[in-house]
Amino acid sequence: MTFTTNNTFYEKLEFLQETSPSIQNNFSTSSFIDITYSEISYVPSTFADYVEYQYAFYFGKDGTSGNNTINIIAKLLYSDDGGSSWTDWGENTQVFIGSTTSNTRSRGLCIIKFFLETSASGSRSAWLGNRKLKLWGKKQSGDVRLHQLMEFRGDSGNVSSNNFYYPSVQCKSIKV
Amino acid sequence: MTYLLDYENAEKNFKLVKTTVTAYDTVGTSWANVSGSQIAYTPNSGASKVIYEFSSAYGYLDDDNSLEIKLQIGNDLSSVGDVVTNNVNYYSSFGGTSSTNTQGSDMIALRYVLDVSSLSWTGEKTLVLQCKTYSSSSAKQSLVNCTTPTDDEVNDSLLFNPTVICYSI
Repeated sequence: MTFTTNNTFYEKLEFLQETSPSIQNNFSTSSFIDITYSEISYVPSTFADYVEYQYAFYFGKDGTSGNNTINIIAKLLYSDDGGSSWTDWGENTQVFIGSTTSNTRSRGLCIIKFFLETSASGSRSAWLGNRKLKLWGKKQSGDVRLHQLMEFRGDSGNVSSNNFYYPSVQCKSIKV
Repeated sequence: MTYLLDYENAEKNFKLVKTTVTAYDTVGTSWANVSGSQIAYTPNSGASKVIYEFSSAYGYLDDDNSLEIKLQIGNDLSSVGDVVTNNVNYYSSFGGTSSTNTQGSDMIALRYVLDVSSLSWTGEKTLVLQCKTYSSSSAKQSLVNCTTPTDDEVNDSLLFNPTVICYSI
């Protein structure tokens, strides 16, 4: 599902939301993999100095018997060839969410937000045409499940397998 | 309270300051400025509100890490103070406060709304966030502008570039 809007401030908002997400719980501690539903293709407005990238998702325990140590490391990648090859964005666009202790039992809705310059930097060319962005993820320890609300009791008093948070990714252009 | 925004005329005088950090802030036991949270801003003529937004991240130094934040305003950085009496509505807090290990890392996304008329805000003013540990505890320290996947913050911390935005409505 895609929505596009324009106004005088946040121009060219591109918003994608997955309304039928699948659980993602296949993260390893050794190598990064795609974080599902975090990918977006975007062409900035011509005036843009920055593109604001946002990815909203839920993370929590990997099932009722899952490990109580819950965390995820996410980093931003980009592609200028339609997704054939991907490069780290770099410039401090890697984050660790959660905790490495089981006492915390981390969980919650998280919005990862980066303000990305459209100008060239190092080997990265200026952002003038279509560029893809996505997040790679891995876990530091324990286990993690994305998109499904585990340890959610709601009104029934029981964990429901149907409680999902629909992840979304968006980009918009900013001029300073 | 509800504000209706006319998007053709809303969000004027937009200003963004992004700071590339080379080191994290260590949260201490007394209030100190948060790197990258400072912005000098003049409201748009006729504006009733100024929106201040701050984006960054925090990690842990102590196993039980906490973080208290408050917004300050003044004519310049040397003269900032509370936004209103007791700074009601301009505080926030993060992390854990018990003796159970937290070791928490998360994003920081703050939004504060300031009333232009009640502040008699006409020219440029400086806004900045200040932070300290919960209850000024020296055993509950966090780090700001980074996240921490391990307890080796010196080698493993992941720096995060803070961004502050102001605009008028």
